[in-house]
Amino acid sequence: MLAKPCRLLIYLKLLANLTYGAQHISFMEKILIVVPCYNEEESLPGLLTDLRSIRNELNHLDFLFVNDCSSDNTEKVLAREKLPYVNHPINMGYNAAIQTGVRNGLDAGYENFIILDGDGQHPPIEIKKLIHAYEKGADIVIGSRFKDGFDSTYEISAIRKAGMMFFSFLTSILIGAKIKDTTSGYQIFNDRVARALLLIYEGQFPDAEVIFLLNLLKFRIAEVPVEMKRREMGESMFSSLASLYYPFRVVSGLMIAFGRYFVIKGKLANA
Amino acid sequence: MLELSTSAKIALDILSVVGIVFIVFLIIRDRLKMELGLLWIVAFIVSLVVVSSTTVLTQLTNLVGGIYPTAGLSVLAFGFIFLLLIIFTTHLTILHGKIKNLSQYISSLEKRVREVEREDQD
Repeated sequence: MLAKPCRLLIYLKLLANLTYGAQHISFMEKILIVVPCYNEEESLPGLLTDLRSIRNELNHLDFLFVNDCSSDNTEKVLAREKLPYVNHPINMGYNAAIQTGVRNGLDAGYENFIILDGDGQHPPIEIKKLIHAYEKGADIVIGSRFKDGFDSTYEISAIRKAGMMFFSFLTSILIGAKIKDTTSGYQIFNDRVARALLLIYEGQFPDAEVIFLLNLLKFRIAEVPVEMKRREMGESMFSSLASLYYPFRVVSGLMIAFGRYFVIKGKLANA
Repeated sequence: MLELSTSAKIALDILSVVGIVFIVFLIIRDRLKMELGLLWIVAFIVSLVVVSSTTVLTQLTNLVGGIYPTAGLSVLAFGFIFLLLIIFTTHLTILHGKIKNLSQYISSLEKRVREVEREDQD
């Protein structure tokens, strides 16, 4: 027989689910914000101020910073601020950093995750928009830098915008739903998506192939426009060489995705 | 200028297609990273184009000063092999550095665990 406090908590959770729908993040369900960092000692102080501010408003947020073997004082900043963080002993790339954070979160029992870049491009205040869209029933919500049409919240070069529009068009045709920003790292998702991402992430950074695979795996994908900032400080994880290679890699990845879908689906079923 | 026989073209084209399918299979099964797999796919596509197009193969053979079309194919193959070797040796060097860093990190962790265990025993 369960103790009275446990039963009370269960009844309250059931009531919350009935009232707000199965996706509602009740006051008992914490969200883990995973922040991948690579040489972000200059961006972190400003980001931390904003993160603490949003946590004061939404007190079911926890942080986990993933230091991807930064060569600057990123780790010292994290240690000084007494923040929970993990270190990569070798540089593994953006997707690997997210996987590390997500893996740690799943082991700790988290059911909801937010990915937010450590370079300050993703204002923490926009988390509220992500959560609001997430609670409507999506498995993953992507924060898009595009508002009306393809007007970005910050200036993007014409070539880059053309590329993003092309991949948005490709992805939208493949999944039968409009997704404008296929490379956004600003996302919120549940633990089922988290387990899938541990198998899906193959390249160095998120791309259209990930969205396509999530769609094939029958996850509900939503997108919401958010304000994003141009990177001011620190070092990008995406070198200029990677930017040249990226379109070729994405198109190839989309073509091969069907085959990967069956392998990933099998692994998820056996997990 | 001699040309490749039709049967030779067909055989080489089939080999290229089989190669592409095999590489895709390896990528899907996570036996080969996408980045390296793409290199092989590009190589097979280039060989498919060169073998199928008499003009391209003739020009390539003339460029290297050959008479037989297989001379052009051989130079292409050698060039690809050298490129692969450069890429692999570069990758090996980077991996060697990462393994060294990982080993040093693990040895530090192991030392800390021993010290914590010793303190617990004391």
